[in-house]
Formats: sequence, C-alpha cells, structure tokens
Amino acid sequence: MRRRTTSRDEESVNLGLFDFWLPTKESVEKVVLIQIECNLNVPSPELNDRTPYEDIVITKSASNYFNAFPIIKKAPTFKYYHQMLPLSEKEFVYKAVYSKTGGILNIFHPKIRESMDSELKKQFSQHEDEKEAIRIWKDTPSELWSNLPPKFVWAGGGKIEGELLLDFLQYLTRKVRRKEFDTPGDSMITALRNLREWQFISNEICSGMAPVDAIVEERKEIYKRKSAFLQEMLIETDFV
Amino acid sequence: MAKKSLQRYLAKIKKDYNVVLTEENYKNIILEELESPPSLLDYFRDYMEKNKAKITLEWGCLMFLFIKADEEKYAPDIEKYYRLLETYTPNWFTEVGLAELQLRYYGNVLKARDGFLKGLELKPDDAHCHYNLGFVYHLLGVSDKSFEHYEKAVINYQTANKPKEIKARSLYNLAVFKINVEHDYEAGGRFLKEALALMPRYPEAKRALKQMRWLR
Repeated sequence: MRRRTTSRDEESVNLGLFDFWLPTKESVEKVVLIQIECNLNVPSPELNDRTPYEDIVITKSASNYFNAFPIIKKAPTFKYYHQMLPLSEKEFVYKAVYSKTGGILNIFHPKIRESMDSELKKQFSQHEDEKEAIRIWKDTPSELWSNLPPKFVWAGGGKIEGELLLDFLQYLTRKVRRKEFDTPGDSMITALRNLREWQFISNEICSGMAPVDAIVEERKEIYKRKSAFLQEMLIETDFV
Repeated sequence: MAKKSLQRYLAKIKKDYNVVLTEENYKNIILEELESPPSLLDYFRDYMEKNKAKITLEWGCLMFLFIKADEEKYAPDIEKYYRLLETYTPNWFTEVGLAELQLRYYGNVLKARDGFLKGLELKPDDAHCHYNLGFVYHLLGVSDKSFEHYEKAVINYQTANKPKEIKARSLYNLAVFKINVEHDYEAGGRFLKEALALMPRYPEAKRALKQMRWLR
C-alpha cells in the first residue's frame, strides 16, 4: 500500500523512567486510561483497605482518594482521572462497558460503541425482556474485546494487569526498535502481532502464567469483589 | 452528466493503460484483468449475468480502474472507485479489496473483519476470505474463530489465487495456535510438516520446526 496520510503516525510515550513506542496517539492515551482503571481496583491501607472504586462509590466523591494520594493531582495525567471520575449511576448500566478500555488485551482497539456490538443487538432481537438479553450478553465472550465477556471489561484490571502493562510496553519497544513502517496499518499490525505473541509467553510477573490467563483470572476476582460490594451497598447494576 | 463522466473514464483508461473499452468488450476485458483463479472468473461471469440489467459500460470502466488501483496498491484510488461502484450491486472483489486496504493501509482491524465477512457472504467458502479472517481474528485476540477460519482456508484452498501458498500459510498458523495456545506440540509439528510439504522453502515453518526440536 502506498502511503498517503501521516495523521496516525506512531507515537512515543514517556512513563517515568522509560520511553515506549506505540503505534497511534489513541493507544498512548489508552495506556494512561488503563493504568487509571487498574489503580481504581487496588485496595490500599490509606483507604481502610478499600479500593479507590469502592471508596468513591461510598463517599460519592474522589476527594478521599486524591487526598490519600496527592501525587495524582500533580501528575500530567490528572485530567484523565477527571474524565473517569466520579462514578455516577451511569457506571452501573450496561452502556458503561463502552466507556471502559478493555485493558492490555485491547490496548490497540479503537473506541468501541454500542452500535458496533452485534452480540448485544442479537440478544435484544432474540429476547423481549431487555434484562434477560443483557444478562446473557454480559457473560458472552466478545469479539470487540479480545474474547473477554462484557462483565470482565466493565470490572477492569488490577495490580497484576498494571504491572503487565509496563512489561508489555517494554517488550513491544524492544521488538520494534529502529523499525520503519510504510503505513499506519503496517505499524498497527506489528503492534498487534507482538501483543498476541506476548500474551501467551509465561511471565514472572504473574508467577509463570501466560499474561492472558493471569489477566482473565484477576478480572474474575475483581468482578467478584465488585459484585459483592455493590450488592452490599444495595446498588443495582446490569452487570451482576 | 453521467455521459461526461463515462467519457472521462474511457479517456483515462485509454491514456493510462492503452485499452479501449466498448459496450461489446468490457465484460471480457474485466475477466482478462482479473486473470485468476478460475473460481473468481466463474463468480464474475455469474455476477455479470445476474446483474446484466444493471451493469453498464460505466460499471466496466469503474471496475477496470478499481482493479488497476488495487494492483498498484494506491489507497486513494481504491477508495474513490469503491465509492463510485457503490451504486451497483456489491461484488466480492471490491469488498475484499477495500477490506485489505482497511487492514494493511489503515490498520483498522474491525472494519477489515466486516469487509472479509461481507466477502464471504458474496462468495461462500472462499479460501482468501477465510485466510484473512483467520489473520484478522488472530489480531483481534479471538483465537477460536481464528483457528476456525484457518481450518476452512485449508479445506477450501483450491478457490484461492495461490492455492498451495494459502494452504501452507494456513497450516503454519494452525500450528502456531496449537503450540502457543494449546501447547499441543505434536499437533503443531504435524501442521508444520504438512505446510513444509507444500512449500518446502517456507522459512517461518522451518524455523518453528527447528525450535520445536530444540525445545524437546
């Protein structure tokens, strides 16, 4: 393919000590959002062993969280926290899934919209009861999120996925160093190929498990914890 | 207006490719330009017959220019002639051409998936579409569907332009799935040997087999 546009050129992102290569501006932003999503699910003593997510839902405010970790307010990524918080009623309806990143496994995917979700359309067309359609849909592995079911996309990643994210960025950057790409497609395919290779390689961060398995396991746990928490809070959600 | 654009297309084809398209020859010229595989020529004969009331010399010009843009891999013209052909019944060649553009040029994997699926609707059991869907689903992280499409590409390989190559490459990808996802080295090795029997100089397959022996 002959190159014509340069609007989606590859990007580099600096996260602290390292410079990473990423294929698009969108994926640079997604890295930041994935990190935030993961941080929100990690319990901390500063929040009485609650996760920031739980604390924000209970207090209906992110103040506790920001006061416990003042560094967040000073970080250049603070505006992204504003984008994702506070967690309002919208967080608990099925549409919330389209505001989630999908984590590392979906780092290079475009923004997913409800109109792209053929599985949801299928379930709505097959069931008169909307709740029943959503109940089936949330458990069904989706092509839009690397076979993750919507409930795990909604739940988000955690500590392990956060660490794996940096590991993958280092892996990818090592692999593509000094490579030149003819088209945006070429760099995107290279990035995705490396992701799919990396996700199956046993990784010390997750005790020798393949990252893909560790990510799913962790999301399962986070989903369980979130479900139990919301039930305890008597908050209704489409995802439980 | 339509007459004017027809004259413009005819003049462009004459000037750039030294071909004179007429009402009488355009169908044959399209078939000549497509060349192979036989299943594609059969598909287009059938398409032209079924749509004979709709297709015109203008369609012939636009198809000719689309085929040339596709050969030259020139993205803006592929999109331009695809759009102009949208007023006619969709066909496999343009749908797949645009899907390849979405994948290889823009890296838009989801749009590419939709295009190859449409291609498969228009030409069921097409090995080229199955092969590409195997690749697209691999990139999307949907391993089971990727495997399924590579398997179908192996079964229907004779419908492809380079049948042996498509079959060998699909077998290689099945092997990679068996090894990486299922850790089934025996099945992986079998697929690699089959791929090498079809394409003895296949470097990736040779390397993978060597690595597997080393691992054992």
